[in-house]
Amino acid sequence: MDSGQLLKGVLPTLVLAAVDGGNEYGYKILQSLRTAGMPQIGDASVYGTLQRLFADRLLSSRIDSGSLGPARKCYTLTAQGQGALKSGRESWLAFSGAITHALQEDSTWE
Amino acid sequence: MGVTSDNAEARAAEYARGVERELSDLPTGLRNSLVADLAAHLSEVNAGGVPLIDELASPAEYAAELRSTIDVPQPRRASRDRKIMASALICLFAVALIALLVHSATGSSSQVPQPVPTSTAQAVITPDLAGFTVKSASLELQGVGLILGTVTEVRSDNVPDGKVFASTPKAGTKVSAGTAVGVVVSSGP
Repeated sequence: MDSGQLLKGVLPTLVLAAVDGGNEYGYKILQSLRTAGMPQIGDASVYGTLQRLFADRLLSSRIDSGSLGPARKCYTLTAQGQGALKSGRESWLAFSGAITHALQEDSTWE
Repeated sequence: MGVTSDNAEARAAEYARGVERELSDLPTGLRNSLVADLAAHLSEVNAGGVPLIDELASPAEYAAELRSTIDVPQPRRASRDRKIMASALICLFAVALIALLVHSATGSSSQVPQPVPTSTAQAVITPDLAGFTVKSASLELQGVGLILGTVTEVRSDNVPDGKVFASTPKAGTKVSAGTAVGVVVSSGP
């Protein structure tokens, strides 16, 4: 199955988790997702998700005008974002547990 | 490497313009939300150590991935639509340029609309959100300087599941920037 389709539904939760885990800049978010087992993840997916989470007010942002290199946008979870991360995490854990169980070769369907 | 940073920024800006052209069929607010930060994002990511400028595929592929991420349909047909869109875009650009000139002549400075209400609340006309998904409605609202309010799900036989079919205040209402617009979305039959 196309892992891109599987990823799509959890991407907002993954991005919130990455930001919550201290990856507050766009490049860090992309890097952390790629090193966390999603090497194929595209920048457009991450950027689009960031824009959407910002529009939904789950993330807030400020601009760090660093002395070296271009200004960087620093993201933080809002209180609403913390709530969305918590519920996203819980529903994924419940869902993935159920799917893993159902797909085990010795699982019984009765 | 240091010498190339200006070059990387110029390439990021050019790439972002390419993506914007690929999104020219989208409503203005939605397109603004998607591309307003794109050039800055690309050069920031590039400078941060991901060699993005060299790894990126065509602007068309980036735009397609962006559409898929935020639940916006892919464009239907290319050439004829694109010509119409191109001329519409030129008209829009001309209007924007005139507006900008008039605006700068009156001495006030204007920024890209932010979802956070500014102290000088400007009037905004609420967009028609019929047919949008909640994700794309939120971005469209942000792009015109409004925010998404309450989302209400209502059963509907006529409107496809997940599509917005009404808003409060309704489309075409004059409100101040930063106002929350509630949407009614179909939960299917």
